[in-house]
Amino acid sequence: MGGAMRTTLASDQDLDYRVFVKRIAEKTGVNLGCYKRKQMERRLRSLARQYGADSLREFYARLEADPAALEQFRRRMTINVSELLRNPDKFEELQKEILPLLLSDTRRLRVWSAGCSYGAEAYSVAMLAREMSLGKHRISILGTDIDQEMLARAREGFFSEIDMKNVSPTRRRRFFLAEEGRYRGRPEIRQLLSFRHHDLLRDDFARGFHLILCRNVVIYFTDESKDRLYREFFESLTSGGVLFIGGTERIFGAEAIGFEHLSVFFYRKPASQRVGVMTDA
Amino acid sequence: MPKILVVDDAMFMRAMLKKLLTEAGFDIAGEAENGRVAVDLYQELKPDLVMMDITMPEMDGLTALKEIVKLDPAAKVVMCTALGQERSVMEAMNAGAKDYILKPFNAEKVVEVLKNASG
Repeated sequence: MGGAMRTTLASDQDLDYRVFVKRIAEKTGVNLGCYKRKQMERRLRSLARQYGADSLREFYARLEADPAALEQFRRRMTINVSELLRNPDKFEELQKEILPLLLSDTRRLRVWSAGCSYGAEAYSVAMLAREMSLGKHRISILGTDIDQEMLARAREGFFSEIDMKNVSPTRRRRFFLAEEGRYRGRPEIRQLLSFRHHDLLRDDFARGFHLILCRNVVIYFTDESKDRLYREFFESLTSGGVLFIGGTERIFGAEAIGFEHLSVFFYRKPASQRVGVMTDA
Repeated sequence: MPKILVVDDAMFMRAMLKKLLTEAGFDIAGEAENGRVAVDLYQELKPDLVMMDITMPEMDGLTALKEIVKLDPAAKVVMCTALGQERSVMEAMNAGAKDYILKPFNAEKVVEVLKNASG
């Protein structure tokens, strides 16, 4: 009896979840089905309860009736945690080991911060690249995100004291202007940056990047979505280009995609790919 | 008041639903005992809403849903099925059903879902 009841509840909830995911995808274009089910469902049900809804069906009805709540929900589903030089030792490795390698190979460095949120990562690379290039390179850093509001913030380039906690006083003075308790990137780094909308799960990927950063973005992605994403990144990199990922992340099957594992957070597309037929000529 | 077409192969179920829905303020446009009749009656009666059982003889609810949506892409069809048929429900939702109701019914829920769907 109890068993049957539990099964009934389980399948009722299953349907409740799947229909919710379908409706949200149709309504907002955000595909929650690309995320891990267990965490996502827990998160959604807890949100639903905060809205006083005891099922996702009811939650959806409320969101549909209230465009502001729907927009807030959409924003909430796209994670926005960020700070400059997050994992400082890894950014040091980027600056001391990776950037010299990339800068020695090209006079025109193209960087992509994928899932950039309000731009902390893009501004971090801008600082480091400025320091390393000594004015000898053309540097462009593209930040992309699916959240327009975050992109607007990134373009403005204001950061809080907390965002700045890993940035040394010297760097703060050189690269930022303090304004009413906030910090704004100086033109010296802002002119390297551009921000635009891009959905990692849906849009086409641009090519020709020497460095791609995608950190703490994929934590809710399914293994399948991650695999597809890393394959796309591989294609987007130039030969010898490097992918920089987050602290808790690993690329499973990196070798199968073609990556060389440089160190814990860094993967490289081999400098000269020996693919296809070598001619005798 | 929204006019509703009730589709179910069990007569007692149709009777129960008609009573429930009338009390909740719906007009009963008509009733059908299988999908084939439902499609015909849909064209004839042009109801605002269809409550469609999935498992029925002759033509099942999924097929009927697809036919109705083909005839009228704006059709509002709510599927109704026993638990354990989640796959059919998802298929119906993908084919254009507005919502679903699981048996056994909770009267309040039925009315709530149908009111939402008709809005």
